[in-house]
Amino acid sequence: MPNTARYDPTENRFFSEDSLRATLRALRLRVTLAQLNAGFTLLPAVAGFIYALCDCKLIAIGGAATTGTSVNVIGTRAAAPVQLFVAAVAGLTQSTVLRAGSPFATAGTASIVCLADGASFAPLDVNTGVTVITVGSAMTVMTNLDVVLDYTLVQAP
Amino acid sequence: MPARADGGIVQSDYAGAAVPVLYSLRTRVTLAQLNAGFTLLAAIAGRNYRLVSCCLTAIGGAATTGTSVNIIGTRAAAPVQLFVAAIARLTQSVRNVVGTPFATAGAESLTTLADGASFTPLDVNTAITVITVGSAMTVMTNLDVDLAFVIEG
Repeated sequence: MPNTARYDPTENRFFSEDSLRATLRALRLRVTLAQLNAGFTLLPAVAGFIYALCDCKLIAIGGAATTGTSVNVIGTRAAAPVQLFVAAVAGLTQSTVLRAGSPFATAGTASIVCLADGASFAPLDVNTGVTVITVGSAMTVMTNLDVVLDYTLVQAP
Repeated sequence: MPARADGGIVQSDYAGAAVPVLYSLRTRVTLAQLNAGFTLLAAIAGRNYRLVSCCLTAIGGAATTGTSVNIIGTRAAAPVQLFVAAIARLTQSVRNVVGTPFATAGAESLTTLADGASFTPLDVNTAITVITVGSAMTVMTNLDVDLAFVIEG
């Protein structure tokens, strides 16, 4: 059973993958406002592999998200788009770390709205990616959005 | 052992280094399994688990009747309640994340052991289980368990 990474001094990198086990991966990416408004691919589709998201954090950079309705992280399930994580514009104040499953400053309000019954964390369709986009009018004021995703990428059975 | 490319993913089996890899377990436990007790991570001979994070979500309805849902490990040959979700937290679809407050400010989503003891290594050759504490849970149909963990030893 592989459970530790091997350091290759020649390549100066670690090898730790076993595509049949759910190794947890982390993506941290700074998306520009233009990319966000146009729609941006966070995780590209990998032939024969399935993504499952485990956690999501979103941070507005350079200012508050303004004008738009929300920022949505979108996947594909049963060949249809699913809004896995939705951050309302009111929550995207500059530098505030919004995390799936934690309340916003106002008690009872979710930081990032997830699908009912844990569906945001169930496996997505094979051969599909994960994207992020503005919903409503184009966002303004904020300059970037930091996206932090924990996810697994496992071979389709 | 050389790495091999498979579907664009470079993979390698190697157990000689000291850098633990973070694994993810996401599983949907039925109410019957939860009430009876369910093994989330089976014991591995010569290895020990160390948990890094935990999320719990009630599916199909709120947890009702019982006292709590507990994630249990073994340390010094005795059971330890690593993560405890009080029944009041387990409302349908609400994702309880360890280390974050519940909707009511000041109350934690999942109760952990003092001084970080929920995140220290468990005994070799021991499993991680989940079970209802108190009366058998009702109403909820399933519990989603999301664990991040490493295997050591």
